[in-house]
Amino acid sequence: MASDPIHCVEFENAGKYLGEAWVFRGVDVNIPAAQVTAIIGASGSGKTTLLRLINGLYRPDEGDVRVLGENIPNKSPHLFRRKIGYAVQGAGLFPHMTIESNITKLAKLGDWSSDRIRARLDDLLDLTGLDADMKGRYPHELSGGQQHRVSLCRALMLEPKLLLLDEPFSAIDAITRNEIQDAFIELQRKLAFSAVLVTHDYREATKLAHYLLVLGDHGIEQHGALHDVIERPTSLFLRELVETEAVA
Amino acid sequence: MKSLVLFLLAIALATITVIAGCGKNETYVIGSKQHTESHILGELLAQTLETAGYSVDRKFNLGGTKIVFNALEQGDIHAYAEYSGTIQEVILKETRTLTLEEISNALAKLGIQTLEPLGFNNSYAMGVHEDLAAETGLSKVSELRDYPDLRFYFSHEFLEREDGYPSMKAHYGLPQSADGIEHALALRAIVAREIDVTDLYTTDAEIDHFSLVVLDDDLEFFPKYLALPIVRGDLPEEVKQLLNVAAHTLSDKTMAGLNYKVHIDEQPVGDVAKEFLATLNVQSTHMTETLFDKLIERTVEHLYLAGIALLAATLVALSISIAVYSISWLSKPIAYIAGLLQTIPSLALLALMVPLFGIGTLPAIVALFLYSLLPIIRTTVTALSTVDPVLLQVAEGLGYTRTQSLVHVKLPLSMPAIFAGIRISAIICIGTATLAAFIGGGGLGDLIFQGLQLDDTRLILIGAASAALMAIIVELIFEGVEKLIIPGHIAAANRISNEPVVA
Ligand SMILES: Nc1ncnc2c1ncn2[C@@H]1O[C@H](COP(=O)(O)OP(=O)(O)OP(=O)(O)O)[C@@H](O)[C@H]1O
Ligand SMILES: [Mg+2]
Repeated sequence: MASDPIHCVEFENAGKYLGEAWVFRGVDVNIPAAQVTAIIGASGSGKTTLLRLINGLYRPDEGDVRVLGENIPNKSPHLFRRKIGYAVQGAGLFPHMTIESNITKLAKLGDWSSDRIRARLDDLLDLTGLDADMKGRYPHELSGGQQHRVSLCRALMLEPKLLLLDEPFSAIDAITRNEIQDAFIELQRKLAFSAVLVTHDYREATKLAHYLLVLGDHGIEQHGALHDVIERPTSLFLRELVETEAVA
Repeated sequence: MKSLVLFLLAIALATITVIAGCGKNETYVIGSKQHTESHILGELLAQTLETAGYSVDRKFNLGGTKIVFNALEQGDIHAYAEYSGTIQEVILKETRTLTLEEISNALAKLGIQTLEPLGFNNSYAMGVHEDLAAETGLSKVSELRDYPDLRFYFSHEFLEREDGYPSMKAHYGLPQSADGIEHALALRAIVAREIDVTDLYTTDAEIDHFSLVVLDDDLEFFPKYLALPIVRGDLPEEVKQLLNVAAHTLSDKTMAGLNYKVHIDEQPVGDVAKEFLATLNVQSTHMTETLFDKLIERTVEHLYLAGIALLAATLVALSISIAVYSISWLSKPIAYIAGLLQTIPSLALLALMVPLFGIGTLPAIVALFLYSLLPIIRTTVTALSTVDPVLLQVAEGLGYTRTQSLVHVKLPLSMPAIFAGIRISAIICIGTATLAAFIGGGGLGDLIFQGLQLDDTRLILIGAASAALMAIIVELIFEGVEKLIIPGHIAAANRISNEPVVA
């Protein structure tokens, strides 16, 4: 199968059925590579579900999802997931592991050399603005903002081409959030990974994303390059967001 | 994950097999029930074999006729002393009085051989104070008819059982009616001359102590309880010969005297047996253990029982928990079954093991093992299934395999709870192991049972206090190990989340 260098994720008429209803159907969209794509939409519209279709935590009930140019394998899905970084709201660090273990555990379980691990760890701590002497601490000994930076380091440890972020910065205070967002922009520029970011914060979406995907009750209401979409909002949900923002 | 479970189960299986292998040995095993007389007779048999150069394993303090006899039948013990009346009633369940020959033939069918009677008959008897006997000239039960004013007080059991006083009254045509009284009180009352006649056993240590006279059962009302060693038929002839050492040498009075030395004078059973063997020209090589030796030996046994049972229970309970925690239709019934096991009284569970595994260390360990499963299964299943789902989702999303997520996330986060479960089981094991002596498993319970049997409060206290001390020390060790291997904040978080919520 030919890989598609300009798209990191391709949804082909994808639908997901959960509980007793379709969360969405007919999702037919390609997500550009090497850019940040934001998914926005009302609570319960299926943003998290869409993200989980990408790393195979969910399988589509109809249609297809292709990631980094291949279909999600049925065998050894964990090997596939290691090519994709993942971070969630509230950081989700393992409380019993030191910062270093949180970040490097999978590399150690894989067959990374200890030199390579150390070099990568130091790079990431440096890039996210964390002190090297935090390595030995436990998550509860860090501030909320620092924990989120660690969470980003952990997601990036295995040099993923694609990063999935589910409302990663929503549980932090505004000032810290701003700093981390800046750090994230910097990281993405340097490492040039593709990222799919779920957020319900319109400002965050416009600040971080190059591409926007608006999820409504029954599927994708609108998608496209950030500026095209917010210049001409056809989705009702998006139009309200744009207008509220303009007034504020 | 499957391989992890299999690995844990394999270790558990190996542990149990090793223990089972230890059950067999080449020495001769002598049993005894939990009363002084049986204990003394057991010592006689044991010392005779030891003096002849055999090594002997003593399984004394076994809990009752059924357990000792079963042990003999199954070959867990090789010999013990029994009474003809007991064999007839309890083992052969025969109401007709059997001759010794009939008893012998019936047991032979079970592969068990009777040896020569020891000489005494330990049956019910009528006792009066020696002063009363002297005043009236009473020496036979039938003569009681001539003294209708004598005050009869009997133990409740003798008063009520069918072959007790009602039958005896009819058999002898006695005019007196009788009242019930506690046996120990009866003896004191008879000395104070407040009562006149009571029931005794013919070899009671108290007969001499309280200056009593046993009246002759001249119309042969009481069934005979002739003591005799019974042994496995497949023992070498030479050993059977040796076990006949005391044949026809123990009169009622001699046996009562030996009981007196142990019970009233508080001499060690081993010494009393040795002294008696000397009168038979057997110079016993027996050395009475000091209390300290005994304590050390019993403590080691106790630790062994509790330790092996706990180790096996931990491995099995962890394997089961890991295999089923995520399958609620399976984990619920398993926790239920484990809970059910724990509602069985520990003594009953131990006794239930005897028909399956015989007596000794193995059945005791199996019972302790079953008893320890629940706390570990319950805490482990609960802990594993309540790990923060966000963390599990993150682990899966990052690319942890199921096994890696179990080993590196779920188990470490469940450690404090699992540890608490193991700790509870350890304490239960140590406590319950004191009952192992009941089925010949040894341990500190041996001291307690011996103390009860010899009415030696010091021995009971030493046994009980050592078990309690062991529980405390183990508890402290667990605390220390927990501090070493579990990060403080994880243990603390667990303590907080386990505390009851106060509204
Ligand atoms: N495991 C599940 N079983 C049944 N229904 C589910 C399940 N997970 C999600 N849903 C339903 O699917 C829909 C989409 O859920 P999803 O979590 O993707 O929404 P979301 O857009 O991420 O919302 P939020 O902004 O609140 O995070 C919701 O209506 C939710 O109730
Ligand atoms: Mg969501």
